[in-house]
Amino acid sequence: MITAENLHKRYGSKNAVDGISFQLQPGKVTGFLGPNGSGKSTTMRMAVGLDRPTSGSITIDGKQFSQHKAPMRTVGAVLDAGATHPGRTGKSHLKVLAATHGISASRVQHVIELTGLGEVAGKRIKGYSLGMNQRLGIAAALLGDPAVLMFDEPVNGLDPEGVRWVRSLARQMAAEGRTVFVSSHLMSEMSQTADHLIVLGRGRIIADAPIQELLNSGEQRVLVRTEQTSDLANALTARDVSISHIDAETLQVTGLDPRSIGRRALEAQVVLHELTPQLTTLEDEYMKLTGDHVEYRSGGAFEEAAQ
Amino acid sequence: MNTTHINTATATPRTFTIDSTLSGVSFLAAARSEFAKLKALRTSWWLSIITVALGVFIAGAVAFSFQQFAADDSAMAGDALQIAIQGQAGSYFAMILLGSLGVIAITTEYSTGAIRSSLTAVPQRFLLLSAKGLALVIWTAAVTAVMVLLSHGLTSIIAEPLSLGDIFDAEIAGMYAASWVSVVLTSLLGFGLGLLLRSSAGGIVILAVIMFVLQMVLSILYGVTGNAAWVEVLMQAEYMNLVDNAVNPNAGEFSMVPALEAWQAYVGLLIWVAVPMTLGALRFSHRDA
Ligand SMILES: Nc1ncnc2c1ncn2[C@@H]1O[C@H](COP(=O)(O)OP(=O)(O)O)[C@@H](O)[C@H]1O
Ligand SMILES: [Mg+2]
Repeated sequence: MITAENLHKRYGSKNAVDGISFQLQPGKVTGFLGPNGSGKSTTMRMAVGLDRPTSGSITIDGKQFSQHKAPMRTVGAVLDAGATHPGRTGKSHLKVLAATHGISASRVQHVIELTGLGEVAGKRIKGYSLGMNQRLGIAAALLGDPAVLMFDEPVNGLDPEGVRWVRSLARQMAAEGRTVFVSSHLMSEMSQTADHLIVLGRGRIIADAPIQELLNSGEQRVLVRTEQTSDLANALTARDVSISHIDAETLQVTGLDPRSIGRRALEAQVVLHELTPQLTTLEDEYMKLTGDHVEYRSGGAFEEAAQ
Repeated sequence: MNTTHINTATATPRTFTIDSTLSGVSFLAAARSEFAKLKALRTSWWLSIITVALGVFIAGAVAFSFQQFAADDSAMAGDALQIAIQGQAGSYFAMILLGSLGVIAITTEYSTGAIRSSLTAVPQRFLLLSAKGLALVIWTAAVTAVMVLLSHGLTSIIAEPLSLGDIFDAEIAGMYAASWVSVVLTSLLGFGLGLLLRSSAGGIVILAVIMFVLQMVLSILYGVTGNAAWVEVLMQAEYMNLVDNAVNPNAGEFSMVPALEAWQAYVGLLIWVAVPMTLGALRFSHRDA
């Protein structure tokens, strides 16, 4: 179990992680979602002791990562694909890591096959594609058969087949009772993998909830079409109901379900052409949650330049 | 939703437990891993092969010229110890080459990012560092021993009065051991510099300055200041002067400054090595990787 308590990290004057607390449960895939620069990688680096927290703590089963007797059996982390010596072969990279914990050669061979690196394991890492590097990183993380798996943006550089494979790996590891922590800046990625979501924006937690709850929490919006928009708007006006005019014949109503809208329309003798509930998707929720927290927005100038 | 999706909300919660009988990280295992890293690095092999080849070549060349001089002029013929000392001239190249290996052993981890993998396997930083240091010492000690022995063999074959069996002569063996120790210490000096500077070029340049430039600068300063006492102290404490005093029993004979006792020279060398190592280790253990 990973526990963060009031975790802070400053780089110079920049608050990369700004006082976050959370607890990750075993047996679940916890998604760590946030736009680029929100502090996901920094948090993960602190979890394995690569970066020191400015204040607060992040522990695994109550102990700092470095205090564990068998670190590779405690946490397997895929933090960045490039953390290897390009002159070594994939296999020698894995063997060197395995040697630190007396992990057998057959286990090295096993993770090579598991990650589909059989063909290239004997070649120098220099020639690996981004996808192969990701697989090598995952192989290294799995070497110790760890209780916690941490993947920082694992699908970067993977082909669609690889992406599916990583997803099912994460699910499988969680089903085995391990704690799985996967970061991504893509909502769509998370909705297919995670049971629980921690959403980060500018170094702060803006949501920490089961994914189902996030999906249900969205207020319901209903699209209504009628020629008598002002009559209908008058009939619907109440506290907690907001009405916006989309065009001359279309209203968007929040805070009332379609059934009540239909009934009040009848009472006010308004003819409706359309009455459509709008489902909020997780993606919308994410945009809403992080809307105020995005550090870099795509600027018009950049988009023009890119064309 | 995905068909492989497992509903963990209703499944009985399971917690994976680590088999505590499996081995954890240990110093010896970490050292073995670090040694395997050196072995897998092409640069290690190149630097080591050049060290041995150059050392042996220089020994042969020196022995040959001694033999020539002795034939022309018997007064030029040295004693066995003198020839053995000259035969070790290649150890100066060994120092810079294996010192550079010491620098690279740590800086490549930073330049490639591999340090992050190393630290997720062995997060106790001091343990990782000591394991790296030990692996480096074992490697350079073996390479230097090969160089010293082969150089002795070749010198003794070519030049009279040094013979193969003189390796058991206490004075000669002691000189070889001192030369061997100075090369290994210099590789650790390189390691400390690499750790402190985190830059291959920076580490190697500073090492070369320590080995080749400092002595020259101090000699000039000595002249300019009219043999000032404080410059004399600096000259005595200068790295290559200490090496000379540790290795050469006749040190000081041709030197501008009085010779030191061998133990004093060793203490001085240890301080030279310890300072960058300690500063580097402090930086390594407190900073973000
Ligand atoms: N080593 C570092 N030095 C200085 N700033 C950093 C460093 N690492 C990250 N940052 C900054 O901290 C913030 C969070 O970065 P990061 O954790 O990489 O975010 P994410 O992984 O969510 O994209 C960013 O603004 C980034 O520029
Ligand atoms: Mg990141």
